[in-house]
Amino acid sequence: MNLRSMAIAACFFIAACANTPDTMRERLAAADLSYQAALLTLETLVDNGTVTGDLAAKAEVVVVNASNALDAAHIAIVSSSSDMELYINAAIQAVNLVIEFVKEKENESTSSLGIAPGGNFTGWVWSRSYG
Amino acid sequence: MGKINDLIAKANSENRDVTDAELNEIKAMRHEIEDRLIAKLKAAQNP
Repeated sequence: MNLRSMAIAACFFIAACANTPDTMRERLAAADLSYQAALLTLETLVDNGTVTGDLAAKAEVVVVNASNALDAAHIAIVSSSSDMELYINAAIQAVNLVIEFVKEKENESTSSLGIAPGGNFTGWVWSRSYG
Repeated sequence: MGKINDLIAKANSENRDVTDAELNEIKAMRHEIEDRLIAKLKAAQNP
């Protein structure tokens, strides 16, 4: 396992073991954490040629959607919007789409990320219960 | 990534919420990763 694979594996571990988010701000931070870890894995899948062509186009769409949703949630929180929970939930749903996409492609990949195909990604979707 | 998780743990240990500055730091890190990844995704669409 190279250093990059070890770093990504650590991200999965950290995401799975993150403190349970209680407040809106913690929920946003934790969603962002999970999302960033997913992006790093997705980047590796692009680098190793697993995600190309139409798949890359689909990945771009879900990533941009999640990015916009997280940005909107960020604005809602720092401006103390009364609708912040709606924005947070929308962001979490968008992040989960990215996580599901990465999980699916990683399971199909024969590359080694230091995580066996079909490995434990359960910790990634903790946020689903907030949806 | 561990740094972000540490922010949440630190806020909990200090019995306070995550601050605007901390959220902004997380957002900035995310945008850095996104910019790099989206460029790669665009390139991968036309290999």
